Amino acid sequence: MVVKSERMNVFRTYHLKTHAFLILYSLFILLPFVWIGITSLKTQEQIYADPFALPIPAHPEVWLDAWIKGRFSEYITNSFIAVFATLLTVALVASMAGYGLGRYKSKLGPTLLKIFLVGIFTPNQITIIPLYIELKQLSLLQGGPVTYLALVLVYSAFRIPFATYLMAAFFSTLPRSVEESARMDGLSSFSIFRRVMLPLSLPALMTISVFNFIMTWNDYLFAATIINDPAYMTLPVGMQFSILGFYTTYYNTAAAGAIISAIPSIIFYLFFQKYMLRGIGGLGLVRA
Amino acid sequence: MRVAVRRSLREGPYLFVVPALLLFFSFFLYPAIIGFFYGLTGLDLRKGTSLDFIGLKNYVEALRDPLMQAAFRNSLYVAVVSSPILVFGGLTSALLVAKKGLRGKAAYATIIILPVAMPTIATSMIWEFIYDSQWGAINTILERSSLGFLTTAWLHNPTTALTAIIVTYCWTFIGFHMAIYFSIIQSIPKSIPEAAAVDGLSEFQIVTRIIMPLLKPGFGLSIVNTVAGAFTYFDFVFLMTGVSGGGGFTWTDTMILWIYRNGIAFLKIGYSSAGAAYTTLVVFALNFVILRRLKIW
Repeated sequence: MVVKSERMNVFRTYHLKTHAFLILYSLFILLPFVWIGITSLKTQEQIYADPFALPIPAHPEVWLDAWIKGRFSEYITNSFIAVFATLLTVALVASMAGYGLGRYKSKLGPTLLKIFLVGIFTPNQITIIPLYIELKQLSLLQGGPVTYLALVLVYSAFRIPFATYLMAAFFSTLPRSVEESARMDGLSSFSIFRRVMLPLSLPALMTISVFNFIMTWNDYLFAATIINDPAYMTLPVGMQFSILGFYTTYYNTAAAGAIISAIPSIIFYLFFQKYMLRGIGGLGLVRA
Repeated sequence: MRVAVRRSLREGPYLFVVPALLLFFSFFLYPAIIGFFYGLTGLDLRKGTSLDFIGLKNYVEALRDPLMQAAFRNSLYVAVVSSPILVFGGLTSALLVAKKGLRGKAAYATIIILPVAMPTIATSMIWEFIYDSQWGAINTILERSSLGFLTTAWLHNPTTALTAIIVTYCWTFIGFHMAIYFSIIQSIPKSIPEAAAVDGLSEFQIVTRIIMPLLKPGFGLSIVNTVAGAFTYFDFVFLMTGVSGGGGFTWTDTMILWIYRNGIAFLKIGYSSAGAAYTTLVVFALNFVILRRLKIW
């Protein structure tokens, strides 16, 4: 008994230290947000007078100003179109490929999976220059609605390898009997996929889509390279275009803009973090 | 025969794979490969679109380019500094958050992973404010604790700029690595560490002898990711110091910045592609060595 209670004690102090460490680390993450939030409610004079003072009196009109000058509604709409078209494309195409590779024994199957694996381990940024040339040759860089097409093609290509790999892993775990009974009913391969397999794979597709959302919604490099038309700018590049000019002169507007631009991502993350964790966890399971 | 081929095409896996493969190949694999070829040409969009073959000229010149040497050094510095922080920071926080019976697990995990979900432009702006030379958080704190002599323009000082960017980079991505380790730890059946505890292993021994070996695939991915990131991560470097091109591009430019400037800004496609080819080779070689050492590949 004595031994046991001593042990409990050890664990308890251990947790105390654990909490202390994790709380300090959480503050390190959260305080920058709090401070920028405070800054965004002040006037320039208040910021200079004391950068850490609370915003008294508060100036919420800074946010309205940032929202209008930042043209956020426009950029958020553009981001939504580009990102959701990408998510749908990847979900459809990768679940088909994952089904083909995870369910069928074929000669080329393992090789194809290896090719997708190379894609997972290749940093997509290194394609930037040839991709720029390629899109130029395809006349996708001239502005206008084709900008969306260019973004969706590129984003989908980057997200397909991991999505396919995960879907193949998912489909290979389903029992054979699922398919066999459908085949007995005389369904073709494609109808089996569409009517039986696709509905079963919805949770896996959700994980993949949440992960893909975060990766594409926040992309800066490719959006900055591909989008030449201010009317089609996604949130990250659009906000740089509209808000960064304020950065050196109007700190409060810039701070409000930074927070506004992060709000959609943060809301999305808080709603779907379970899937996000699973998605990144899925990456950890990828191996040769 | 013909019928059999057609049948296997219709019933086999290949038709299902074609759309994914086509997209992946056209807009990822093809540009990744064709870059090596562009590196052998004098393609320069300021002069025209001629693809004249010039052999290894670009590859030799790039090696002698002091800006590329600086970019390569900076990338190595980022790799050496950020990799241990990201891997051990991610691992430590995952082990702590995964502790049995710890209250508020979910809240800690949510907070630690939060920066990963942020748009990089917002994160850069927040940190630019923190580093601001006049009213930034760091300089204000230093002045108030009578350490005013330490204040500097963190992002515009050659000795601190790149390190400052690395701090932001680690602040953001520790959560990513934490998530990798955390999901693996969560997938370990509870009976394994419990049995070890019954056998009299201490908490520390359970972690080092039982959990760590199971985390090996996570280590592989995590380390490979940090090494590749040091050479190819673009956003913070570009947004925090790169736009202004601090110090004539030598203070903070990493390889991807060098590639971007030469290719997208100066339109020297052939030349920048040579640098991209070097980057690809270095990243793949380093990753191969690391995965081999961990006996994962």
